[in-house]
Amino acid sequence: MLEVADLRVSYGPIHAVNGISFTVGEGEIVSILGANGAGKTSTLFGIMGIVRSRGSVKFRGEELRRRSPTEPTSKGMVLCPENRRIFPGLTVEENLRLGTFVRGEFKETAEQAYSLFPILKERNRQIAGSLSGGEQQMLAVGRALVANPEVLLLDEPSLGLAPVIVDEMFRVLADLRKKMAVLLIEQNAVKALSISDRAYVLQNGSIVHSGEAGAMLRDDNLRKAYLGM
Amino acid sequence: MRRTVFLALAIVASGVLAYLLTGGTYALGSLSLVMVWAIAGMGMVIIIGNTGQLSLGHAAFMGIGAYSTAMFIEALPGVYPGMLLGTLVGLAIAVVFALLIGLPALRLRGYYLAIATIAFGVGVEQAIRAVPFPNPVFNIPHVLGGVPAGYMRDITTFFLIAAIFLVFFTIGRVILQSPFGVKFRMIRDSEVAARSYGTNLTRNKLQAFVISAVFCAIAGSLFAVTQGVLQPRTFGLMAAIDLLLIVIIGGAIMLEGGLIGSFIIVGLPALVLEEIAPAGSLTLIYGVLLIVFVVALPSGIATGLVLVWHRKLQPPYMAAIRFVHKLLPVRGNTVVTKSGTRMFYTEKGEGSPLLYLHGNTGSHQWFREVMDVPGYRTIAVDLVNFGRSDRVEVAGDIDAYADHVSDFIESLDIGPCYLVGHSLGAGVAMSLAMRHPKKVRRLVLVDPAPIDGMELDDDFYALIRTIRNSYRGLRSSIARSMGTRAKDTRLAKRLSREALLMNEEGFIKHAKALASLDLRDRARGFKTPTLVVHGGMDPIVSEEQSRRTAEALGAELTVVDGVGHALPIEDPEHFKEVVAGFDVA
Amino acid sequence: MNAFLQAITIGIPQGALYGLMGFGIAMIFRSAGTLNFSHGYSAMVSVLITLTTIEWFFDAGIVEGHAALFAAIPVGLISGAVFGVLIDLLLMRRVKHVSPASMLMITLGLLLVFEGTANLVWSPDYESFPRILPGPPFIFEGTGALEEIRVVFRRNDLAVMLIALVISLSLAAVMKYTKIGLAIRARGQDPVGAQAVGINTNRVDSIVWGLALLLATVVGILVAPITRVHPTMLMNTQLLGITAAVLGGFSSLFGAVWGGLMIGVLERVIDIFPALDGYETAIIFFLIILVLVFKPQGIFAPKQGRKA
Repeated sequence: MLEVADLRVSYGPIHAVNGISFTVGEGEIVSILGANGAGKTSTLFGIMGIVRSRGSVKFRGEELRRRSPTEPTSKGMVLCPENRRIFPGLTVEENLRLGTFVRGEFKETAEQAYSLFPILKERNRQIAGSLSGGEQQMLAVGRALVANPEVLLLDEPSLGLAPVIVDEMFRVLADLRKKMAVLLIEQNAVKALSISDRAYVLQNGSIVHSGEAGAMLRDDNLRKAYLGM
Repeated sequence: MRRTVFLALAIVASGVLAYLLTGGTYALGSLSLVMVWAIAGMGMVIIIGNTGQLSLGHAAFMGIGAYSTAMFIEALPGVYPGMLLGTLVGLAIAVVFALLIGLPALRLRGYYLAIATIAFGVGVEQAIRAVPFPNPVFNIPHVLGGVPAGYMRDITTFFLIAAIFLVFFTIGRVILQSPFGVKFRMIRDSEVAARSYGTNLTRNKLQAFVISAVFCAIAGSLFAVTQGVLQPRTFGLMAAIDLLLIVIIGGAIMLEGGLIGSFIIVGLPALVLEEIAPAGSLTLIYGVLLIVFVVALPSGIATGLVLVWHRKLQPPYMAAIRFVHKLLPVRGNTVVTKSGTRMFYTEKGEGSPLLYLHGNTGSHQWFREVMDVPGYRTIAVDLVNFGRSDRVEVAGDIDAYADHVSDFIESLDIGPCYLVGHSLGAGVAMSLAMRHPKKVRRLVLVDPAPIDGMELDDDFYALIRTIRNSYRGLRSSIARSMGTRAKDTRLAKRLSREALLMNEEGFIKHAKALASLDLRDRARGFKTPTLVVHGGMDPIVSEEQSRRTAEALGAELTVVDGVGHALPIEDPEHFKEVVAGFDVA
Repeated sequence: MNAFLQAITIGIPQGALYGLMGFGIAMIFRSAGTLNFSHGYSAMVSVLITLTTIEWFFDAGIVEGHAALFAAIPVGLISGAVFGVLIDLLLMRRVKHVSPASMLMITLGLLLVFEGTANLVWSPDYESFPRILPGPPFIFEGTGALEEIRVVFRRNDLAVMLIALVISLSLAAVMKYTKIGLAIRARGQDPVGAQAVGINTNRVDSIVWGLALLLATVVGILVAPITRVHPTMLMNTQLLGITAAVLGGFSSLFGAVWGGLMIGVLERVIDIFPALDGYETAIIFFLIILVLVFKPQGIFAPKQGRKA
């Protein structure tokens, strides 16, 4: 469904991503794991055209030009960025409405988001900046879901959340499996592997390991070497 | 001081040039105006380039200085009392305003500081505009009113303003080199770092703000007494932008940038461009220049020139020095060894042969003062790749250097000889003695390259690059290796020029060779009687390293207190005693 | 009392213009992150283009009399929008990485470019410019207890106020209810978030630049009959527009409009006191420094939700 080949992202002389290749299949949850600064977010930004990148990104067999995020998003690749990145001065509803900026019918998809995160419906008219951290994360995921993604790109959805809310978040993510493919980026490797089908380990901008999520969870050496568990 | 003298010469030269080109003294008036603006420009260099605070309000301080001077001249009898008092009062008002505005505004950053200062600048301009002066343009008497208007006055004004400019240039230099200047630049580079060093940000920014305001106020007063008429808009938004252009295009880091920028922004239009350029085109061009400089050359012309000097012009400059130095006659002989290599040497005296081998960046000249050792025929040779000997391809191969010395000993038929090596030359001497033991009777190693390799700092290669690309850097490095005689500039100069004769590849390769030197294996069973002499204050080779060298060779170690890395230069008499004494023993 | 009323009737239309100027400046600042010091100067060139077009219509005999003004205004407005888009495409987009100080200097460079162009292509002379609503002023005279009151209201100010009101209301509607308005607000609040929902932020920036300079051209055309047309005609309006944006705290676009109105009225009110006559701009600029230092979030900024 999503095929990335030899993706490279550099900021001036610094190479954040050094030619990585990976795939995400229909209905799959795939994780990219790695420490801070391994190049995870740059990978997503490169795929989405938020930063300039070289290499090939194919979605449903079609090459993406990646000049701006508009093109991948309108085709069904939707990013839920790190640190939520909601619009703090707009209302919850306006935030969700912006989620359908290039894709999705707000009237139809909003109900789904509200049913997944009922709190958003309650706070509909509230300014998004006044939500709690967990609620903001729900809003961010909700904002991505209203675009009716075929592939959801999730960047660190558990960052800075209380453990209870992290569990809740992963429960929701596991439920998404049937509806869409998910590319998940996480530092919390155990959580991520527990809901993933496959995973890649990224280190210094290169993929150093890949495999079945279950097998990786059981591989002690791998866990010690790369995942710090 | 050197920069001040250089600048003074440049100013006088430009004055003469302007006179010759235009055939009149009108141009001197323009150059005086350039220097007036340059004083304000130096104020901007201090606050913008060195403290990193983008102020767009400094034209107001010029206005304060100018109007205060004009008002006092009008109010007081005579010309000079008003001029002097007005300037001082203008200065005081500028300082007060700088404190009043700077104290709150300097807490702001980026855009907000710029808006606040622009509001101040335009506010002062509007206030001046609103004051109901009886004579709004003021016909201010000239500072040199006693001199009849004409060429005499133009010339004397030019020199007077130049003198004042140089005084403020020197003051600015002193400030920027003082601890104040260091703190200013710390704030510019990182406020967080500056604070963690215990800098009081507000106070230091305020100091820079006040100092720059003083420069501008003085410039304003000088403007009044040289230009004669005042208009509020002379010190408005456009003047603020002109000041910005001056520092950005001239260069915001060095004070010279103020003068260069002022010459381009104030001087060129007044001297030539206004005659030939259609109205508005200059503004257009300066706008484009401002954008281009900010984007492409943010360091400005002054700093750009310095960079060009170091990156592009130093190598030819050094090549020129080398060329001239090579032409100078020097006493000595050249011998062609059996490999066809020419080697240069000097000798003195009669007796048993004593051969000196110099260190890195050295030549036979390092032994000039120790050539007369009674009872010896002393010979100082230039190693290959050094001095006047041939250059060979294997730069940095200590063994190859030793083989060439071995050939040299054969050619002069002086083996087995008494061999004395200094620093790198000691490394060559060790290699020679180990592989050609029959050619060496005795061995003295002075502050030798450590037998197990030299330790190089992380920033070593940066240092080497500086030395290689800067004659000044080379000289200070040579001076450092001269130990207690570092202050002897004549000697340092001569030895630096000798160093330039070295194969340039050696700068890096010799250092690498010394770092990877390891003769410990060969030292097993070493039989040549050897003495290691170590200078107690040697900053290059440590006493511990010399001790290890001595132990590995089974040699004696003598530590000479009170000298550094260069005993033959620092204390020639003692050196000769040591050398002669070891042979007798 | 009468003087005070008169100050308000002159101050409000004047302030509305500062407000619209500030609105555009704040819009660019919020979305593209640039404080545009060339704002009024590029609008000035658009006013010159408008004036030239009017003259051309006259000369060519296509449109007669006052209609020439209305026929030329669209040309001026389009030129304003084109300048905005060009500035963004050719310059600002390429220098997004530079520091605020450098960015500011770049716009000062643009200021010089526009001023130089005006001097070079046109002239530094003062040219008169037609009013939207020509004719004698309205005079309101009180009766009875308010007999002393006599307020003069310039006819053109009516047009100024109506236009400013219509523009403000339609801008508010655009910002609140249209996709592009929402996108502009979103881009200002979180550029990465905006990209995540598929907004092309580069395109938004170009639109913002175009819209803001179109707005500035409107202001220029409304101011021109009073200041007359010359290269520095919008200098004060621009500076006071920036001031209005400061009062609005940059964070809210309509804060700038309120700020502008306040400055406009304040200017006239200061004028009432004979001792302060002429010092009004200076006083406002000194006040603004205090606002910047003690209330940098502006005094009309709406309460922002806490940032998580």
